[in-house]
Amino acid sequence: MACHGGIAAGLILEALVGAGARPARPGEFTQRAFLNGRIDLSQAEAVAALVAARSQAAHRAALRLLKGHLGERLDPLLEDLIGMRARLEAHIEFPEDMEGEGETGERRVREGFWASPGGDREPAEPVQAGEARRLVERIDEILRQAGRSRLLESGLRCVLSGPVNVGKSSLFNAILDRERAIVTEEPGTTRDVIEGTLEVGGIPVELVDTAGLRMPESLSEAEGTRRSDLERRSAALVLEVRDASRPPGEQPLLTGDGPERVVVLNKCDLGVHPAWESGEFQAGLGGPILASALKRTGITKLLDEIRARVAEAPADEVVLNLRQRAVLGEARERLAAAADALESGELPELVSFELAAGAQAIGEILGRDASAEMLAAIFQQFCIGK
Amino acid sequence: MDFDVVIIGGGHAGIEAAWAAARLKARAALVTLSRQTVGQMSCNPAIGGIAKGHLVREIDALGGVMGRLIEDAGIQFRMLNTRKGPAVRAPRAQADKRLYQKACRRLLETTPGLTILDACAERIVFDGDGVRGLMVRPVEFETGSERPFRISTREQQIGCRALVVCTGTFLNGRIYRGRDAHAGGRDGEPGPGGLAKSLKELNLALARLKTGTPARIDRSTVDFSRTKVQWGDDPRPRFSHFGNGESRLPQVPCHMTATGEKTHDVIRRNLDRSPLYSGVIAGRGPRYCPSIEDKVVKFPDRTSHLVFLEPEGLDAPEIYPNGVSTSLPADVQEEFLRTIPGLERCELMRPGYAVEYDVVIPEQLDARLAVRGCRGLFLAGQINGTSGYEEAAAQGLVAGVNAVHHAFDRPPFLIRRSEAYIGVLIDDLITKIPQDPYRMFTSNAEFRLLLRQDNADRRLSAKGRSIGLLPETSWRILEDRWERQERERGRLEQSRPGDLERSIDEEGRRQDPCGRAKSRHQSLAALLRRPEVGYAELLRSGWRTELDEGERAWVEAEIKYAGYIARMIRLREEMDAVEAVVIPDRFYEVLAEGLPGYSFEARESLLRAKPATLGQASRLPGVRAAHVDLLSIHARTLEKQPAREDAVRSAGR
Repeated sequence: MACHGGIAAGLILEALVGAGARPARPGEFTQRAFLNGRIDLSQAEAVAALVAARSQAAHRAALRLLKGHLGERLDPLLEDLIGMRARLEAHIEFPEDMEGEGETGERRVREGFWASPGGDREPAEPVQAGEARRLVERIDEILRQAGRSRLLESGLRCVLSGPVNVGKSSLFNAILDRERAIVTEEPGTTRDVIEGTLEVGGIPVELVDTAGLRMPESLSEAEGTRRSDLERRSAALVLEVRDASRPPGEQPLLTGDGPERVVVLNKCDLGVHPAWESGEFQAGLGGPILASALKRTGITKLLDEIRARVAEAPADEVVLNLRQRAVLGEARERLAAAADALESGELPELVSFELAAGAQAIGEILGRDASAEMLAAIFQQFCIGK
Repeated sequence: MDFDVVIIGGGHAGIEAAWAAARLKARAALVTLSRQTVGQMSCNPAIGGIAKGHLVREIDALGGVMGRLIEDAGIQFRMLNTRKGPAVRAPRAQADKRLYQKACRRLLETTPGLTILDACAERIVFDGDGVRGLMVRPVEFETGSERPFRISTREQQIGCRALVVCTGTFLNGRIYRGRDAHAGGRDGEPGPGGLAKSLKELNLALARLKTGTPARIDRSTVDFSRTKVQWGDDPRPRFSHFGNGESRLPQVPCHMTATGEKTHDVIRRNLDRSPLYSGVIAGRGPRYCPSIEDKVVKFPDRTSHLVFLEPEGLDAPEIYPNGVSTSLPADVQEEFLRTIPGLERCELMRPGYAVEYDVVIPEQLDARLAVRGCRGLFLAGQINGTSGYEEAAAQGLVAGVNAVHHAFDRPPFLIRRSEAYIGVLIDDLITKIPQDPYRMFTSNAEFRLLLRQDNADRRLSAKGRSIGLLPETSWRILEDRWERQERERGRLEQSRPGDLERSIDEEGRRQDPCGRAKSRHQSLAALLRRPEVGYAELLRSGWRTELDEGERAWVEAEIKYAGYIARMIRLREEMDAVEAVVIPDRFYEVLAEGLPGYSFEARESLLRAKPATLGQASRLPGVRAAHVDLLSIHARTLEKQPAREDAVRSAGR
């Protein structure tokens, strides 16, 4: 499949995974080629070295994960899932023990539990469809958040946005400290999306320059504007660049939900329009940053601001790689199937089959043995032992 | 005296092993302290249950004997989980313990090629890194009687090429009741003498486990009117695929009662006299079968626990109170039992006790249940850390067959975890560190929907036949049954509700009135796929079938699970592909020397358990997916290397 790189490739890959394909693990193709006898034996050691490296990387990744936010989110989810399955399985594995579950001794004595047929009441359903649905919703929430931060894998995405001719590209260059974007004084020079990477506080930051927002004058500019808008929405941080010397009324700030924003007033070497000093802008935005790309002033303060955002960004973010995403998606499908099965009154072992597949998938991400934990949960929750 | 295979121990593992060895035409000997106590049920008088019943059906399908024995000695048969689906249904039976033992003895004594030696196994005779024989001391009998008099001081050597050790809890067994403790594997019987020393010579790693049993109550002192009666099923569910299944013995009920607050008060007041809670017992007990003191302590909110009163036999004076196993002193046992409805005036015949015993950590075995590094030595049953008659029997069969195959230089007889619970059991044993006595659960089987009691014959009988364990006559019975089942399935797929005498709507479809119109055009098979419709509904509407209840179960399961079965078969193919990759022994030499890419934990696990296949390796603790991938390459490399060396050599000539 031939396509442009960047976003398009990522989107195609996602579509493929969505349609059921599984992303190859690093080194997998080489490994398969070897196992299928396509690679000479002499190359085997190289392959083994590759996989060994991956194994170590996987180990490091697992360690990171254990400490990371994904673990914090998935652990309790798996816990609940295991608990659900434990309830269901307790009734399957120990029907006689569970027969009197919930009955008190006094009640048995008083109502003659063993002397009347009243003791044969149908036990209540141990698991409800709603529980499974809620787990599905929790996975959806994680996938949604992970979707927002998908680009975190290659760095925090920081987008320069604003009307035409406020000096976004100059600022872009100033931040990157090199002349990467083509800068002219002609409004609307930047028509494509330009990216540059810098490291802030040890984390890669993808700085993205976009076309200015105005009524487009050409088709290519219209496309540029459309892409700017797309970038804005997928960014982790938006630098709202405005011309300090011009009144805010000419270049309004967008309101409403969206990524985090920092207002940067560029061209302050030309003076700052008094309207920017009003309380309205000071209060709502934590104070705009005054900068001049031309004079290289305010850049350090801007980087500090980005650094601050980078430091706090992962706190509520979930990072998933494509493989984890696929496995979590599989878990979601299985849990949804379990909820459907529960709703249509399916047999408990079929519901459990779906729940087990879901638990196994999540357990695989976390490196936990969900089925052993399930048994332990049964003995913890229920007094088994006829 | 020379034999091909010698089996030590006449419990449930030993019986299957001895039978299988003799059926496979090996000269076999069973060494037991007393032929009168073969097949003893030292704990509850029952066989089967969820997952355990599956095991018995599998043993029977392979040509083993447990299914037939329990059908001969069963006094109450029930199918459990009938409100759930076919994969988790299983038969369970109460046994007449004495008649079960008699049936076992009769079977062993009439098996051609099998010698029963009443003797005490003293020590194993090794020959280099293998087994050559066994030293025994024969049991001497009172003149003109079968009563054992004493164990002779005279040692006698018997030669063998393979030895199957099925000694249960007798390895360093210690019995506890209150503050009393004495050596022994089963109450009232002597320990196995010097055999433990022989196993120690092999430097096998051991673990200590614990289990317990309740008091036996004098039946004539129980007031059954205060309990709930529980009868068996009629017709009886089947354990065996063969024979007519007609009950020769009268069927009797069990009775249910329950503990109450008063019971728990007595137990709490006396906890300091329990060896479990005064710290005397260190072994781990089964989580699924806690003593009553455990239940009271661990579940303080529960004000009652069920107790099942099970007869030990038709005429037996003992009642087995299932659910109250204990190691409290005898006087406390009596006191708490008398707080239970129906047991107010009960008298104990034998108090309960806990037994602590050594087990061989089974990761030192391979999938044949042979001890790695000691040719011809096999272990089966409780000595491997399992609990339960059924688990023991399953291992006995596998070890017995493999002992013969070892003696006769035949290839290993292996059962995969994707084809039987027996395979799951053995694979779990050799790949997992035991936490407590291992018991079979259906949820241990990832292919539970495929491993059903109704298709044990289709899964395993060809295997049993191919090694000569299952007779041709039995095979023909199965072929005929399979044909009739297929025919029935075809008929259900071609018939419509209109072909029935009565409408199925009133009975089976009442929960789904909207589906009625549609259902007229559906096949009966499609109807049967619905969770609320079962065979019972079809029969009530006039469906006629030549199949009995057990035979119908397969048809119903295949139809109900159709979609899931297809999915499972795909998963099974993936698993079997990994399972098929053999890890050459040389890999472990190379790994011990040092190989990059394996974590410390994975390396330790692999070197300890030395798994034979990639599948086994993948289930070891600490071994992750990346290690398995790496291992697959190393395994393949080593497998190809000799060929390359040969090629290099021949080119240079």
